[in-house]
Parts: sequence; C-alpha cells; structure tokens
Amino acid sequence: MVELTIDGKKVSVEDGITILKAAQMNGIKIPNMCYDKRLRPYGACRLCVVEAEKQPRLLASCSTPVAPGMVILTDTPKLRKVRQTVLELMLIHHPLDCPICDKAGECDLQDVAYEYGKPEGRFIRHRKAMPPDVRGPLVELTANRCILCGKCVRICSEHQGRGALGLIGRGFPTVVQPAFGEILECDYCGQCIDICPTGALLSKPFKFQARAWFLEEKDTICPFCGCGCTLTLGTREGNVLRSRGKEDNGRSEGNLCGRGRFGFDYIYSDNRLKTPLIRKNGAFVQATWDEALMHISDSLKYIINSYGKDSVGAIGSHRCTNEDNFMLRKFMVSVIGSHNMDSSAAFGYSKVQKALDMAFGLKTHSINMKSPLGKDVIFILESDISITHPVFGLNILQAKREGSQLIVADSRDTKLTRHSSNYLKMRQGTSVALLNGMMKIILDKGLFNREIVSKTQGFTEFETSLAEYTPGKVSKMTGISEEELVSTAETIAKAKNRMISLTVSATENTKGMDTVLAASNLVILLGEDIDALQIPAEYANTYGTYKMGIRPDAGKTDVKDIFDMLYETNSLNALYIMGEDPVSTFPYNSKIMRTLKSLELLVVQDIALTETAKLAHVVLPASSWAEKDGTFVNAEGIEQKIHRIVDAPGQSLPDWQILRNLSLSMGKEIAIRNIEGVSEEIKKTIREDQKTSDKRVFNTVSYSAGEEPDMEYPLSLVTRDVLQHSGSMSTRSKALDLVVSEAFLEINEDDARKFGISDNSHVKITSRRGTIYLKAKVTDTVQPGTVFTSMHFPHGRVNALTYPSENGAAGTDAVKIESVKG
Amino acid sequence: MRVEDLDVNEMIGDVGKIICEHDRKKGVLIHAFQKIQQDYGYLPGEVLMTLSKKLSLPLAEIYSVASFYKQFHFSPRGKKVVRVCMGTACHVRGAKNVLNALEDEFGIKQGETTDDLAMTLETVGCVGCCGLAPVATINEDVVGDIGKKKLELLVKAIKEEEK
Amino acid sequence: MTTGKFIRTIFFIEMLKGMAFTLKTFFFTPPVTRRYPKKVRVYSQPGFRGLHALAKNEEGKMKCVGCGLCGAYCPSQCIYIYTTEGEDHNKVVDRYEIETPRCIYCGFCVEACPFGAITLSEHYEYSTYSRDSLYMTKENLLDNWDKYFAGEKGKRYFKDFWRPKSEDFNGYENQAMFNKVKIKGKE
Repeated sequence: MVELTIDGKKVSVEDGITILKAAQMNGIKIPNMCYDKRLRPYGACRLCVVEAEKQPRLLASCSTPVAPGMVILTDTPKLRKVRQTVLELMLIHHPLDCPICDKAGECDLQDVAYEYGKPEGRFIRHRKAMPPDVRGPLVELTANRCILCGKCVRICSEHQGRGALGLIGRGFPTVVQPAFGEILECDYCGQCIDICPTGALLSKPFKFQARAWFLEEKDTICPFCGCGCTLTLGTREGNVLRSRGKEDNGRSEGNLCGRGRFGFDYIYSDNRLKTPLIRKNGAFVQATWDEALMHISDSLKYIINSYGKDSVGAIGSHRCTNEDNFMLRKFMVSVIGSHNMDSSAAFGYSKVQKALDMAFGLKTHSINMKSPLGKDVIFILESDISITHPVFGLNILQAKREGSQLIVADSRDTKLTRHSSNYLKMRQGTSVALLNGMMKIILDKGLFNREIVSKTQGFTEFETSLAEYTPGKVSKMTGISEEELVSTAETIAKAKNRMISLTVSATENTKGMDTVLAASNLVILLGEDIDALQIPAEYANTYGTYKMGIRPDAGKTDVKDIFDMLYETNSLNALYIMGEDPVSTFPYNSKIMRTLKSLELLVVQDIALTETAKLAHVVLPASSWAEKDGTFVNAEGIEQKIHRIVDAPGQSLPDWQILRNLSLSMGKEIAIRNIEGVSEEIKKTIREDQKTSDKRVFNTVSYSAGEEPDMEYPLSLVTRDVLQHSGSMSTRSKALDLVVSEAFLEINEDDARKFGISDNSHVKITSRRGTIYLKAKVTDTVQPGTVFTSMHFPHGRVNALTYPSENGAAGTDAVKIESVKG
Repeated sequence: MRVEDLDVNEMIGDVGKIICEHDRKKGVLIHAFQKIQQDYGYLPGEVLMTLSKKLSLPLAEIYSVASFYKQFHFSPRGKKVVRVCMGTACHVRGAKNVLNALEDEFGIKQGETTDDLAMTLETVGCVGCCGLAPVATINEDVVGDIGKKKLELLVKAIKEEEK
Repeated sequence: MTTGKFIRTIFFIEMLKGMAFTLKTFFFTPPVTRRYPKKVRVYSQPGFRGLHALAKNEEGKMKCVGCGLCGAYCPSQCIYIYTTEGEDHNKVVDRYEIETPRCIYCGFCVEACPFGAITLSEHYEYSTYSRDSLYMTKENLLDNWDKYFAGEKGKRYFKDFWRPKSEDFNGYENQAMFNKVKIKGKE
C-alpha cells in the first residue's frame, strides 16, 4: 500500500496503480479523454495533468504510477489554464456541428469544453473536410469530429482483439480508418461507439433518431446469449431506439457485443403477431382471445379424454422468463397432469448437466465469467466462445493479454485461434479423441494428481479404456502431430491452475455429452475442482428454463423428452410450444415437420409467425422480452430482472398471463393474479442451486465419429454460430440483417477447386436427410474436407441436413456438394 | 524476400529475448516493410495482408504503422522519382514555380505517378544543399540553381531517361 | 339614530343616488373596453411574444436543423421534434410540432436556438373553436413565418428583440467565430 495526498485528502492505495485511478477510487474527478480502465494507459489527450509537490513538471495522471508521500493537486488555476490550452488545441480541428451530431448531450468533449473551454480560440482553424464514411452497415465514421484520442483503435485491438481500425497517416491529416480506407468490416460489436468521446463514431441505426435528452434510459438484460449483459435501452415515446452499455453496469461491466447493441430491433419485425390465429380449413383466421382459448381448451379436454394425459406435451423456451416457464410447468402439471416437458436445453445445457451429474454429482452447472483471469493455462476445446458468448470471450482474451497461456484446439480459424499461444488444428468433432489422448499421455508420464485420483471411483476402468488412445493413433484421428499432443498435454498438466472451456448447443454439431464427460475426466485427473471446467449455458434463459423444471423429470419413468416429442410420430397427440421454433433451430427438421403435421393439436405461442407457427392449429401472440417483466438466469446462475419497457403490439400478452388465462378457461383456478404471485410461488417451490460437491467419478468415454465422410458424401458439415446471430430470434433484426442476412457455406479453397465452386456462387448441398441450396464463400479459415455453415436462418434450412445425436455423441454430418449452374 | 519466409526472431536479434512476443512482432514491422519495398518498389496490399496473417497482427495496425512513414508507398512508383525541395531556402527562391512547371509539363500533381510508371513527382522538406536553392533531385542526382534554362534541362533529363 | 339619517333610510335616498350614478354612467358615458371581435386593437406591442413561427432563410428553406435544443429548454415541454436521415445522409426534420395551448410564451426556445430558426411573432389572436388547430405542425409554423415575418420585418424584429446566436456564430460554416463578435464588441 502507498500513502499519498490528493487534494488535501490522505489516501492509501495499492502499489503500482496510476494517480488517476487512485483519485477515481477516492471520488476525485480528473478530466480525461483517452483513458479507459479496460485499456492500457496511453497519455494522448493531456487533459488529466496534475501538479505534484516538488515536481517542476506537470504529470499526466493516467500514466504516472503513485509514489509514497506524493502530494497531488488536481484542480489549481495553473492546471485549469493548461487544460484550457489543451482543449483549445483539440478544438482547432473539431467542427462545431453539435446541432446535427448525435453525440451532443452525452459527449465527453462537450462536457469538458463546457467546464474548461473558453469561447475564444487563438489559433487558425484547421478543419478536416472529410465527408462522413457511411459505407459500413452499422458504424458511421466521421473523421472531422475525431480528436485522435485513439480509444476506438485501442479498444478494437486491445480489448476486442479485432484491430479493424487504425490511426492512418501522420500529423494533421491523421484519421481513424480501416486499412487502405476500405469499408469497416469487423465484429460490429459497436464498443468503439460507446467509447468514443466525441461524435466521430456513431451507430447508424440510431442516426438522427433522437437527441440524447429526449431519450428515457432503462436498464434491462440482453435477450441473446447466456452472458446476461445489462443493456441500457433508450426509448422515446414508447419506442426503443438504441441500446448501449454503461461503464461498470451489470455482469458485463458495460461491454456489449453486436447482438445486444444492434439486435434489439427484432421486437419491431414485420411478422410480429398481433392477434390470436386459428386454423380454419387450412388457413389462419384472426380470432379473439376468448375464441382461441376456448378452442384450445376444448381440444385439449377432448384429447385428454380420448388418449390420456400423457398424450400432451410442452416445449418451453430459453427466450421466455423464469415466470413464463414456471407457469408452463404449472399448467402442464396441475392442469393437464402431464410431465412431458422439455426445451432446447436438451441439445446443450441438459447434456452438460447430465454429464456433470455423472462426474461431479452436481444438479446445476454455472460458470464464472471472471474465471479465465489469473489462470495459468486456458484450454478451449473446439468452441467459438468469442462468438457464442462474446463477453465471456473478452475475459479469455484479457487473461491472454495478462499472461495466461491460451491453447485452442479447433477445426476452424476463429478469433480465439488468432490470439492463441498454441493453436492445435484438429479434425472436426474429434475432441473426445484429443482429450483421451492427452489423458493417456498425462497418465503415462505420471503428471496427474495421485492423491485425488486414487480416491475417485472408476479409475481402473477409465485407465484401461484409455489404453488404445496412444499418441500415434490419436494423432491420426485428430490430425494433430504427436509432438504437439505431448507438449500440450504436458503444459496443461504442469500448469499451476487451468481452465477448460467449451460450449454445447443445438447449433453446434461437433460436441456433445461425451465431450463434456471427457473434459470432466481430465479435470478430475488433474485434481482440479469443477471451477476448472467452464461450460456456459447457451442462451439468455437456458439456465432458468432448466431450473424452472422444463425438463423431463429424472425421477419419473416414461416421461417423454424432446426426442420423443419431436422425432417420434404418434408419441403425442397435442403439443404446446411456447416461444420455440423447432423447425428452424433443431436438427433434422424434415422429421420434426412430419411429427408436427401428424399432431391433432399444435399450439404455438410466440412473438412472431415462425416456421413452426405456420404449422400450428392455434397461434397465440406473446409479448417479447422488452414488453414484460420477469427474470432471466444467466450462465453464471445469477437471477436478473428484466423490465417492461415498451407496450406490446396488438393484443399480445406475456406468456405467463396467456397460460394463466388458458388454465382458467380449462376450468382450473390457478391462484395467481400478477407477476409477483408467480415469483413468490417460484421462491416457494424451486430449490436453490447446489454449487459444490465432493463426488468425483471417472466415466469411460470412447471416441465415436459422427457420420464419417465416404465416397458418396465426401465432406463433413460443421455447424456453428455466426457472430451477428444467436438462435433464430436475431434474424428478425433489421440492423443485424444488414451484416449477415442469409446462410452461407464456407468451403476451403482446395475443395472449392475440386468441386468447381467459385466464390459467391450457389451450391447444392445434400446429406442423407435432405438437400438445400446455399451461397458458397471460399475461404481459408476452414480445413480441407469440411464445410461450415450456421443454422440461424430459417430460409437457409440447414437443419434439413443435420441429425440429432440422442446418446450425446458429437454428430458431424457427411454431405456432398454440387455447384448449381445458371 | 517472400513474406512467408520472414523469421521474426532472426530479424529482431538479441533484443527479442527481452521483449514480449507481441512487441517482437511489432518491432520487425518497419524492417519488413523496407524489405518488401526493396523487392516490389512499394507495399502491395496483398503482401501486407500476408504479412498480417504471418505476424497475426491486424491489418489496420500494420497499415497504420506504414502510413506513418513517408518512406513507404502503397501504389507503384515511377522509374524516376523527382523530388522538388520545398524547404525554406528553396521556397524563398521559388520552388513553387519549379513544382508548378513540372506539374504542368507532366500533367500530374505532386505525390502522383505518370500512367506509364515513368516518373513520380514528390516534394521534400529539405535535401540539405540550400546553397543551390531551388533544388530538385532525380533519383539520387541533385539538380541545383534551377532557373528557366535549368528547368528545361531538367524536364529533358527526365524525359530522356524515359526513352 | 338621528332624524336625518332616519329620513334618508326610509326614503331610500342612498339607493336612489346609486341608481342615478349607474344610470348616468351606463347610458351617457362611452365604455372603456373594446367590443373585441368586432373592434380589433389597431396597434401591437413591438417585441410581443405571440404565435410561433419557423424562420426561413434567404432561399426560402427552413432554417431549423432539428438540434432539439428548444425542446430541451422548453419548461412546459410542448415542442416535439422528429428527425431522420435524409437521402444524402444529412439530417432531415420530419416533424416539428408545438402544442401551443401548453406554451407559456417564455421565449426560452428562441434564446436557445443556435440558428435563429424558431421565433415568436407579434401575432397573438389565434383562438379557434377546435383544439386540433392549436397543435402547430411544421407546415403551419413555416406558413406563420410567411404571414407575420415576410420581407424585412423578420430581420428587423430579430435584430431588435433577439440577438440570435446564429449571428454570433457567423453562420453555420464558420461557427465558433464567436471571438470575433466579442472582440468587436470590446472595440
């Protein structure tokens, strides 16, 4: 600790921090333009100068570390004069177009100029006359307003790890631009927009929509991935106009990705439902709530009477709040009397959960977003965490910057592989083989924790099962050289502490339950706790949906899970789908469609007319996330409130309310009047999570390939997420569609040549299950023999090709591709 | 030199042992640019792209460094590089007229190259022989005391080489 | 009670006196008030803060750029401005609306405007039979300029009563020439 005096206030702070930080920690404000706590000190703006006793020169407080006994003055006439001059120099270049600049009102430069500036300028104005760069889809660059603090350049390369912007040129004509002055092509996270102290970087969808002081800002939780970031939504007269992150606000501490920042406008999509729809003679007819609910309750009663309670099933949703999912469960259990419930978690979080229950005896699994920090080695297994969970990915990158070793095993070049210290280029879907091979090496070299392992169940079987995974054989399976395997295994085993992370979800077909089991074996073998394994739940409320009991109950027999409900015809007669779109997001959708068409009653309750809703008998309009109160549980297991910010369109109602009304029209009184009633009941019924356990079990896992490519289907199809989209909800966002609006097939240059495919041409892709047509994108980020695509886009119909792997093994799909002429 | 063959550690030498990997990569940038420019005469976009992949540094960062220095160019340069000195002494003695005359003669502006890649016209701060002001250089040769006659000779000299 | 007072009371002398006064003033004195809708006051107070108008520049285009400072300043919050991006990426004011029944005619909007675009004309009589017509749209406000500030009047009115900041700034192109105005003032 260091003792010093700032403005007459004696403070004691940690050694090594800067004067600016010390002042901020003690509530003393020093003006600054180029400082951000996420970035390294830069010292460009010189506004943060302070006076120190016995020092003839002024010190830039943002980059000067504290020293014992320092006496600092932060606001003296001399400093004011210096700051005034600095500001005067900054304003030489800055145009005074505040009246038409969207930043006005929340602009740092404006604030500082208001406090320190004087109206007179002594210098000849030297204004850049560059027209604003409006070419990019989401970010607008206005070089004229730039004061060259370099914050955007630094947050892009240092914090986001992207580096799309650079300070180009030298002297007066310096501008912030992408290389060669081309169109800004980046992750579109928009962090540069938030961090810019002037109006040089602005959000295009928000351009000229409203002045800052007309906006009403409310915090809510992002509806996309499992990070659970806090969005600050700006609304004007009941319309959400923008979303931004505020410094130190929420789990994300102000960081946001492109989905959270630009994707909120899916609530204004054109196909939002406004009234209930009932299918009559094959076509949808608008109906009143009474008609629709009576129709459903009559049909349900008839189905229960003729086929029994178990012929009714329900699918909950990660897009809905805890309250909604809880009500669905209550409706199913106490009104229908059936336990056939499941959600999309069955393809992801549920698998993880099952595996971790087997290995660690834990009933729920939560991550800690800060866990990568301070870890010696971070091992990422075939996952694009920067894409699926961007803000968690930021912490991984930060850990790498702070000296952790980042080892990434992947079949595709991603942001994490670019930043990795070691990049193991592996064949797709071979993580289990890789893990088993590494464990074999660790066992052979005796690098494991004998004390803990000796106490663990199933070690002998586990050891014998690994016998066949010799480095030579694993090297052949995974495509990673033997030396690399051995050195990686050694690094991971010898590290002081480590973190292993991967993602499992319905949109990825290269990992499954056995990957999680193998990873937990490795964790147990090295004597680590469950904290070393970080597998985030996929979406905003996947965790909550699972926690609220939307899952096949373990205790009960012949409960139908999602595989029975959607892939077995005749297993159900009625299905109630709340906020889920199985036809576009779940694998093997031709089979799902067949099942859904065979149902006697399909009720879909959603915010928009989805592909699944088009097959329904009754469609009920639900409120979106911004139009209702409730709670989401993020991947960390933290419950966060979401708020009703705007009014729901048409007659749409919150999901829990629809279900309560439906219970009433079924003749069953559920004593719930309002949202607080639901929350109270949740508190009473749902048990708290169990976070730790002493149980450790080795589970033998053997590598089984998905569909191996053969003569007829020579390529492996890998499905993953793309950065701008999360599930199929974001595809309705107009802003995100400006970046990626259609599914594409990434193919290696060599394969493209082999199959006669050129960039941007259409290709026909056929698997054993179906055929689709996509645009091809020739690239070198995928390996030969694999093609990559994402399944977000309903029109892409990628799920016609894929199949669900029920047993939990990874399931890549073999496909053949042909170029489409004409 | 092929960018793919670039060896960062060899290029940076012993200093590399005491700085971190990222700084090591950043450290070789200028050296690499110079080598590339030696081979190609300028810094072609595709080569910088390869360099960015090779060093795993963002292209914008590489371009930002290169654009800072006047010695690096991003478009092909003419065989003859004519630099007109615009230093104080030359300015006083009418360097502007020399520049204007050359611009008119070849139909290009300063900093541009003729379409046939024969000549590039540039301005410099000072070439260090103010006694001969106004001065221009053709590649490495200095032409001083440019008056009307000398100017004609200068133009002739540039054109002659073109043939 | 004295006799005099008694007599005055029983003969209603005081009442008669009062009635005589009323008779005199009601029938034989001209009224001090005007019969308003029929007789209109001929003069208006110069600088009176009346009906709003949106100023036009020499080319006849609206001066307002939609910066929203008037709306921010307005104490009764009766100014609504909606802007969008125009075709050549400039700022376009789609709607500029003033709810005049709520306006308190403080003139803060005129003071706040950096372009001298919103003005308060000397026109004060615009009572109507419907509330809707008191809700001024952009078109109404621009018409008001033509009606009440046509020609030199607008310029003079501005000079006399509002020192517009737009002139201090020396126009949009050379804003922040504020100093020159100030220095001139000192001289």
